[in-house]
Amino acid sequence: MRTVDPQKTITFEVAGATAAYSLDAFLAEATAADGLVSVEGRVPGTTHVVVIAPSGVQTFEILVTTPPPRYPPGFVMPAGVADLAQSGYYEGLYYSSPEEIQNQFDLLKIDGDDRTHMHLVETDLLGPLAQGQSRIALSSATYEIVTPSRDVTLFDQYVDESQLTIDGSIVRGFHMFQDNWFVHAGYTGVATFEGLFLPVQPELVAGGGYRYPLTANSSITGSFYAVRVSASDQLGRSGSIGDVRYKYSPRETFWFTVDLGIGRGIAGAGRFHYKTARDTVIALVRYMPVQFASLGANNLRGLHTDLSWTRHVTNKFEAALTFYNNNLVLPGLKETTVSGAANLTYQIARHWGLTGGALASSFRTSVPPSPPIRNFTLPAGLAFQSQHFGAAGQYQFAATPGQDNGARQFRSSLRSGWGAFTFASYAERDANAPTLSFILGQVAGLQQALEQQGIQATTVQQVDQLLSSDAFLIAAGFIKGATINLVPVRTQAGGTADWSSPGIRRKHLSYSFLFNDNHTLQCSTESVGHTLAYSQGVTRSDDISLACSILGVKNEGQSLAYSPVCFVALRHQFQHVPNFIAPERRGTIAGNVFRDDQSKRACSQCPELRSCWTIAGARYPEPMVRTGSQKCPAVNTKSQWPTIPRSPSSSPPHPLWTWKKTPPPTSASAIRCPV
Amino acid sequence: MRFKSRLAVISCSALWSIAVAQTPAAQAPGEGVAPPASIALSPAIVMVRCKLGQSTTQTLTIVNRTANEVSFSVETQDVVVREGKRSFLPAGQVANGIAASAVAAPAALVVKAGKEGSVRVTLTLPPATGQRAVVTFFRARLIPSVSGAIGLGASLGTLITFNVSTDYRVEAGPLQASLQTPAANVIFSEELRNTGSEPVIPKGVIAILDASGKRMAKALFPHQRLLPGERLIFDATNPAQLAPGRYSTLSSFEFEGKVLNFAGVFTIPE
Repeated sequence: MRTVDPQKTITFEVAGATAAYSLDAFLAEATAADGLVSVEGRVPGTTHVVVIAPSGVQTFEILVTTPPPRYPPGFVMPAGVADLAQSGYYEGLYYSSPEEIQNQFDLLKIDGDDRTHMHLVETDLLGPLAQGQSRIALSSATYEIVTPSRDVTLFDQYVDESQLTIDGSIVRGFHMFQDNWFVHAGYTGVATFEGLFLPVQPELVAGGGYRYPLTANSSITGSFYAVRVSASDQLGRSGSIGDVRYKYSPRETFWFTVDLGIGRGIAGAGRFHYKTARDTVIALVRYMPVQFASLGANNLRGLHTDLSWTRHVTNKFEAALTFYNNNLVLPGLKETTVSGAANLTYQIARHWGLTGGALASSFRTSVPPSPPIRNFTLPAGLAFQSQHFGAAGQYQFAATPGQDNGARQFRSSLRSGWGAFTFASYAERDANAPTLSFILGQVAGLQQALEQQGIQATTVQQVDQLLSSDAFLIAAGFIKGATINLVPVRTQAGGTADWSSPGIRRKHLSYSFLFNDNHTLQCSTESVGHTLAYSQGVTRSDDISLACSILGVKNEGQSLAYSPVCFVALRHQFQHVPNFIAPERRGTIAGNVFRDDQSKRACSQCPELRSCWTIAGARYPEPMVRTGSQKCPAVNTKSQWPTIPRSPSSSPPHPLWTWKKTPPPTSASAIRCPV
Repeated sequence: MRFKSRLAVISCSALWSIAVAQTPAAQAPGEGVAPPASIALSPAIVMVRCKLGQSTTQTLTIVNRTANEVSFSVETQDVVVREGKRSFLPAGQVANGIAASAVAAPAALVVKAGKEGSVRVTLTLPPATGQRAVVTFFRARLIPSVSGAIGLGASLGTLITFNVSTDYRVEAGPLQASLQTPAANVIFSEELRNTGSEPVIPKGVIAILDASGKRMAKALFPHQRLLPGERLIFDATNPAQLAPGRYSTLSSFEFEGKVLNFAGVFTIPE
């Protein structure tokens, strides 16, 4: 067969050809002269060309091909089902501070109920190394295979089993869920995996448990874990933990859990979640003694309670009540925070709203000893919101015992959005505001990150939560200490401007800035941050991103010192997952093949089933077939079909057999002939 | 004077009346123009590939575009070929006929004016039949709309053919060329006979070659269906006048992936 594209002409030689013609001139036309035959394609299809030559008449089959589809500019091909089943990306990043290159792969393949996921992040440090630090680190690695009956993960998995055992840690090792059993065994750390395979301060955890369903809505789970942490870990304690959890979950919007743990002491924890159209109640309570065995990565000691209740009183009136209590015990720091607040919002008109409420808080540190900070705050504000514009202003007065003047805060915010452009900004001035200061170790980049977080914490509760969330840095020794102070005057301003363009090559440009000026009694500090980021789609599968941040810090008597941080990233989307990463699960077919003209799933015409036909007599092009429903030609390698009494109306053997196959190995005795 | 005036008025009125009578009033497109009355059956032809003993169900739709409701009775007849010619036989009159297995649901229907109705016809090929075609007729009888009117009858049929094997064979008779005159181009006639056991639709082309083998003209044979045993004359009219002389022809017929070539000669006299 010769092929020709539509509106194209092919020429080939036929010795002495004098004439040629097509049998369907609608599809193609042919001419010949001097031994050359020309065929012009017109419309996709198949026809024949007859060539007349001295040697005789020759016939050629001609295929006019179907041209590839042409799409209008900007057309985006919708993703098909096959594309959705396989996806992934590669992202390469370069950071300037600390100088490093990061390569990231993420591949996901879904095959029916099965799922295979691989995630890999490799980091190359380019700058000077600390003692014992590896230049190459496997920052993240996950290979997960999920089937309807089993979930197996090698290397990293985020584990959140209980507040008393593993509470939101990434454990590198082996993880498996099967039926109601679960197992976790591996290493975790207070920081990311900065070694080649293990963290610098590895903490071993191994254990598992069993979930026993009591009723359709409740269950009890027993688990046991062994924890080994290094002596240098300032928060973790080696030992064994036994945990029993009761969970009641009648619906997704209402559930609670109660945990009781034993391991070098007795600990307890509970969580409550309740949500309706009018009310949202979230409560958390946890007590863990200092000597309790635990990982250093994620456990805080002492008593912690957190309660929030938000109620929509009417469509225009909303009230939120919160209570927060935390006893934080960290190396070199022991503090108690108690706060309660009532926030009220009332919509007075379609675009106008009033805010108000009251907040009382107390912050006391016994180590290092310092006077308690107590205040009572009364905020009041007015807000305007519309589709393209929004503005809000708030004034709050806080009475602080021991202070001559009460704390005052003025805050205003502004936002606007028109088409592809959005803008938001705020400005705030505080008097006698609490601030958090860290005493940092020699860790590159940490100071900038913490300063940016610290600027955003403006209340006692936010300062305490920031301290709690960064406790693992204290445990690892990255933060040598923390102090909370009242700043007489603090001025903050910040804003973000975004612009994005639609289309296949989407562009996104954003700029953000942050300004903070603290005036204390002894000194004043000023910090300024600018970030400019740009991303653009290069092709349908490739994106490039650029970003640069400059954080300037000015201390008393010094000039503003800037430290830039930039990164460049290239991201490429994959449409298919290589077979060696997520191989198709295959198995063998074994069993009997027999005629089943009546689709009875039995060999009704054969007195002896086993003598009908066996797989050994049939040849399969693929000895290993994919799981799931398959069609595979079973070719009879014998000279004739096995002798079976046949009625005159029975149809001849069909070469196609259909069967449902379960994961290997399986029996194919239910093979049936297609109707 | 009064007479002349009255005569002038009468003359003008008469001329206006004649003019109005001769010129029909212009009508907006699509307004007031009734479509021609018709009854249509679709599909007209169904070609089924199946196996002996297998059943097939086809849905046939009749559309009534007349002003009256029409009642139809559905009947399937076998298409038999005797001495190369088609004929229709009622069900059961031919051995191993297909029509005997026909089941129409419903077997009769009344279609109102401007409406359509469908019938599902199930046919089963006997295990050992040489029949390859049936026609399902919709025999209509227009119901008189007023008393005293005469009801008309009309029948429409769908040809259903069956291909059950790959036994495709066609034979051709000698080429006949008509006399070319200044008023008529030469017409080539070739008789084809389906000697296989399956229906075919040959697509044919005839090329007229001069003494050196160069193509002088090309003509198309219209497509025609050949049931097994059927003979038909395929005619192709040369698109141009040919100069006197001796010519050779090569006619090619394509069907089911096969190509048959037949050579011939003819002469255009001086």
